[in-house]
Amino acid sequence: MDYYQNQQQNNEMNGNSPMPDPRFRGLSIASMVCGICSLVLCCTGLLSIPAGALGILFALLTRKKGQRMNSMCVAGIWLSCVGLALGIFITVSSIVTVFTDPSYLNMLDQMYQQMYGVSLDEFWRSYL
Amino acid sequence: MIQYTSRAALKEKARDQMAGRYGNAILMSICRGLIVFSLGFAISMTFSLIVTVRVLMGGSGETSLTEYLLLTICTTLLSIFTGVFQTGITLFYLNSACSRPATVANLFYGFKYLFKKSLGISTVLVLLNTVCLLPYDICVFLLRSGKGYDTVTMAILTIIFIIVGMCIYIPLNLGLSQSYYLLLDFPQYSATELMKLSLRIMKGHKWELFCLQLSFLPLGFLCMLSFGIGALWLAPYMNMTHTLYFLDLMQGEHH
Repeated sequence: MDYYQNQQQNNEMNGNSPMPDPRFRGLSIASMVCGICSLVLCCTGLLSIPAGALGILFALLTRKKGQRMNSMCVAGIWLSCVGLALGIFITVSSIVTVFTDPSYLNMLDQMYQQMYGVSLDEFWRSYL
Repeated sequence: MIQYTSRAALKEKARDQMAGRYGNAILMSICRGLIVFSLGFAISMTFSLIVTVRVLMGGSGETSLTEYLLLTICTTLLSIFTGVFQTGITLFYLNSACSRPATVANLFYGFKYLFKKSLGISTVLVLLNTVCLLPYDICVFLLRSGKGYDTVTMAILTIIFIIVGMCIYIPLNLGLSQSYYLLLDFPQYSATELMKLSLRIMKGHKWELFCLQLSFLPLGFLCMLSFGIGALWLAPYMNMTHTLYFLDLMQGEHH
């Protein structure tokens, strides 16, 4: 009998919930790493959103009825949720600030003039 | 009375079966994606080249309705041909569900062994999609070209056509959804017999399967937030759930 099965039996005898499945170890580690990346990338705004979403997804793929989630998955979910929320907040507030503040709009207009030779309004009109 | 497995139990079993198997599944998705993308790219590049040559010879740069329909026909034929991959993908997940060896090479099973029948099933499924959504596609094309058509009327027509198209397409697609699984279980049957059998076994189960597919929407939203990267893991999970749904359905049929 291997170590995992032995521990499962011990847990059941002591009335503890079963140990997390070792086959989900890879996804658990990925969830935690994505959660950490999501939190760290908050300063960039947009990049923390995919990292947070992936962290949550990986953790949800390891769920099993009657079995507690790996501690790395739990950490991953929490970090990913915080990172995702912060990322969405920073992205949305940046967009709102840029498009409502006339000085930022002016800067963006000048940037489009330099890059594409047309103003911001003309660029989006031709694109749509 | 036949007791079918609940949605939650099917999904939990799918997660369990996919543990440690995501690597091969993702590799297979990438291989198929690359092949389909390359062929699609070749077709769209050919059309772009035709338009470019026409512009260089002093003609108009706009795509006419005829050219758009020709492009639609080419992409439909491509979809029919690449639909044969679905046989291999189905085999991969059936093997994984039954704890048999499942490799990336399974992807080409439909081309090697059951090409004609796979092509038959793929033709019906793709033509069903094209025919149901063609009025909507034409309306969208005319709306975008803006050639003197009343925008509001075209927009209303577009919405009506998509609703009517989906109301016809979704139940039929759900009815025919088990065809590839049945092809692998009963390779001696013809494509028509397999599709009729699929329609028969799905009688009374279409709503169940529709709800099962809708239950993946929250995870689908997470995949959208990850710019599609999460779909590499979500698609195998969904495919495995559908495979286990089919196995559960067939168990009920045997009883």
